[in-house]
Amino acid sequence: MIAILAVLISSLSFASSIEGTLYERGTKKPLKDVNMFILPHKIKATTDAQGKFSFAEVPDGDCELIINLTGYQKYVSQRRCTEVKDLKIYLEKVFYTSFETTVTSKVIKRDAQAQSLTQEEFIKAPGSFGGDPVRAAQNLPGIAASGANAQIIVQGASPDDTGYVINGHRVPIVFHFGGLSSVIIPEAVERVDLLPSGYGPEYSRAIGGIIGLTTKNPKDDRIHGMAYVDLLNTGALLEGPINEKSSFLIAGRYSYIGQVLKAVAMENEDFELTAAPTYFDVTGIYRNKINEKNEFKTTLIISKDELELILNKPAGNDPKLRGSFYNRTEFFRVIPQIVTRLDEKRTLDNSIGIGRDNILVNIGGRYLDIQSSTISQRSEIQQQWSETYKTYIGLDNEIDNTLVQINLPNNYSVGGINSPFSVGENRKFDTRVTTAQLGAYLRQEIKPSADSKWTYLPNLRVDHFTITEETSLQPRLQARYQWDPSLELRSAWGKYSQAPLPQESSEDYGNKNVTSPFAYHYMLGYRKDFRDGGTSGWEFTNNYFYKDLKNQVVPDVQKNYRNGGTGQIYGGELQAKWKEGEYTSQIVYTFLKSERRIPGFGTNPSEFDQNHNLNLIGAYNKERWTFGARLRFVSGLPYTPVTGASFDSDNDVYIPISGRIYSQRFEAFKQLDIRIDRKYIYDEWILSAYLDIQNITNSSNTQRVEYAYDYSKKTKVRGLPILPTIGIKGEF
Amino acid sequence: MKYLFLILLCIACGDDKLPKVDKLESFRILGAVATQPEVNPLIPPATSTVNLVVSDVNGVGNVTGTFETCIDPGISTGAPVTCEFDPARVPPQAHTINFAALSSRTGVNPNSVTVNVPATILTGRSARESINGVAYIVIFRFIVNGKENVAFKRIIATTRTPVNSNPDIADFLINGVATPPVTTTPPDESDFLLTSSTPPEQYDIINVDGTPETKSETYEVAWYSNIGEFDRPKARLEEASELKLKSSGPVVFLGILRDERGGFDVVKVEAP
Repeated sequence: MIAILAVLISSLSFASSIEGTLYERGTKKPLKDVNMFILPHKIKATTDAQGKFSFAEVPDGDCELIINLTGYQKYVSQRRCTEVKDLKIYLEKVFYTSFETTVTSKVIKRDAQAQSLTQEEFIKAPGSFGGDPVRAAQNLPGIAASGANAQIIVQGASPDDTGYVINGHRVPIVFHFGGLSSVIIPEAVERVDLLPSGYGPEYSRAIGGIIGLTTKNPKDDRIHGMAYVDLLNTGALLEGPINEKSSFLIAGRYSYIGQVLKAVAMENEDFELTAAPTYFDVTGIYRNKINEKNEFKTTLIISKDELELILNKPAGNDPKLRGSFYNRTEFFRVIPQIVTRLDEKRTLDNSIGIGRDNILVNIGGRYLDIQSSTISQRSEIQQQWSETYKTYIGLDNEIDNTLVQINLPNNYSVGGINSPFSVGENRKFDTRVTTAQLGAYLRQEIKPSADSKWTYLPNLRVDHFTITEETSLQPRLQARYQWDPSLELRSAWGKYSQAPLPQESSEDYGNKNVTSPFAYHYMLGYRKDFRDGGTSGWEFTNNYFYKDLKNQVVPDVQKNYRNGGTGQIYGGELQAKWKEGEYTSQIVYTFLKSERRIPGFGTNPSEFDQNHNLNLIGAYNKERWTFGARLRFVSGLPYTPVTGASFDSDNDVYIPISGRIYSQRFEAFKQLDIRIDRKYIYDEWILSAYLDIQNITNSSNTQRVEYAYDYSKKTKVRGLPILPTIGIKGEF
Repeated sequence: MKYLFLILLCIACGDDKLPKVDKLESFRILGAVATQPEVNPLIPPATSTVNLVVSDVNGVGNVTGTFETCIDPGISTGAPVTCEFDPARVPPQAHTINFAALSSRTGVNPNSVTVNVPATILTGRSARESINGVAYIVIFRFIVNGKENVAFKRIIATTRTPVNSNPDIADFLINGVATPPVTTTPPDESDFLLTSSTPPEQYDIINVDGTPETKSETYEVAWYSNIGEFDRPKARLEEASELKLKSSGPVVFLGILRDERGGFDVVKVEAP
């Protein structure tokens, strides 16, 4: 008996248990269902959902712990096996995306021609100025930037004809000061969508296209954080679970670009920056899985830009353009959304956007002050009636109560040549208007049979604008043909309408009788995937579009504004993506012609007629390094020449005389941007450093023409010079 | 924000190679002074006499061109500076700038133009237009060295009382000292300042939404020189402008005072 007991005690003293948790290195993500081995004893353990593992009865002594998991570096640890209860093992991935703690969902596109960029794509895009989603969207086909202020031009349409939405709800601006950065921190954005010609009925009031940002769902596994600092701004993000059902995200960003400008301004006798241009934005997201059927998410966006300066000399020799300049643009939106899965075939999505927009521009006592309270509402019910028929029925309404206070000279220019500020007749008034834009839509997806290659989308949109008391019926038709799994053909036609701009329909500043401009879109295209279901190879997208612009609002000497302008935009765009191992590249090319006809001025190129737009984008990933480059070649923007000037003796300014509208062009825009990212992976956090250099060749890229006081001579003003940004980012 | 950003660019990227607004060199029209910048067309005679203020430091001889008068076609709302749209316009007539009578070829042209504002100019106009005024314009055209120079002056027809009168320059100060019309070349970096013997007037307008408002004039000064450069070529009345001399030789300075609604006065100082 004693002998048996001795043997038992002896055997226990030579066997230990090893317990612990397996994490992904850097992200601290528990790895589940991973097989682990201890050699030479050939003992196996498998991690559970929390990444926990347990080896029982491991003989004491030297051993080797081995983990070999696809996508991760092989883990081999030679150790002395003894009793361990909380061993932490960190497994390093072969590749890390930029913001590892974010899970990007698969993009579901309703419109075949829509283009989307996920966070993983836009955050490392060269030329995106630190991963800005909207700037990165300029890499998409059909998208161009408008000069120094970097407004988005969708397929040759005016930026005023483009709608910007966050989670489906309109926001007044998409860029902070000067277009350097969009109004929401990139790490809180799940994806950016471009809806170009022929977009579906869910959106409207934009005859050019829609740029949409969708905020991400906060992570709910544990607390995650991110902070970064670069030459222009700094920001931080924190997200994680609140309890089993809910999670949160809070992020903020502050720019000190103004301090740089202020330093420059100190040496400038022409103006003093009394409040350097600054901006900040805050994003908050709360998500609650109420129950199996209902999910609630609310997003808060706050954005503010501010600038004040004192002009010591009149700008442009215009006596009234001097003194104090102040500008403040701020808005917030709270967007609660509840998605209800009524049953397996029906989903109800309700959301509202509540917000306020304040825009104040004060130029030496002349001002534009807009204070607007906004409530927008979207509701949509999706129903899969059968295998071949699905509908989306929705409402898209917006009500704005706006107080406009104006004390400004009118300024109606055709062709972008403005009369001096001093010459215009001063208009001073206060007005409060309540306007509603009410919309309803029906989207249908019809397949003739379950195995049919055809999908028909006979869609319909109705909009009512109280400002013009118009109701617009807008049929929007799409058809798709799935030739084979790799080739999809698609076409679209539709009518698109938008209310006139506030200054155009203002009784006191514009013309209350102007009506809504509209356009007909035609689109034809295909997508061909040569990758045979894999991830390497080519992928082609090729679309052709035609936009027939009707009833456009144009300036008028007698009536301020009137309808009667027309136009057309047509062209084709090609996107060829290629991926092979560590290399990715894209060729994006758009050809278009954008023309406008203004009665009395004939047919001319539009201000945004950029015939050729070529983007070559390449990236190479090697271990912890990512190298990216973008080369852009874009036809120069047209401009209207000044052929002479008349001297206004009373106001001491020259009034320019326009030549043929947009009959001359700047030189082609050429720019090479590069971006280098380097990651440092630590057990429980990741440090990233990046260098983003815009316009590395310092191409001059003329942005506008500057004239002498009497317009007798001119000089071209270059765009942004070489602009490097260095930043570091830590995330856990 | 877009607008302000462009203004910032406009300021920050100004090209020093472009001609300076305050530099007197070749032929220029610098302004026009009317005996009556505003008239009430219902109280005859609704007449104003207009003289051009000109400079042609480097030129020779007199310059002859034309003038014509008509109702303002809507220049403030973007209409071109022309009389073509007014069937009752006074057609172009010859007008000569008598540089021979102007020392330094700079100053007020002694030849004047008489502008008769039609009595019917306010007929059928709204109360707002009648109070705020309707402009009757005189357009001057001169072709010098192959380049057409066009300038215009408004005579405002209004029922407002009192009508606007010209401001009056009291003194032309260099470094705080009243300067006579003929003086010596001032030292480099001298401060120039005008003073007025008339205070800014108050006047009534009707805003576009129908609300009445009483406004006050703002006096603006424009400085010119043939040998220097002012740091504030366009200044408020109370602001001094510093002159940096760029060359030497005979000097002519011109200070013009405007009341921002057509009122005008001018002073010339020379250092031969």
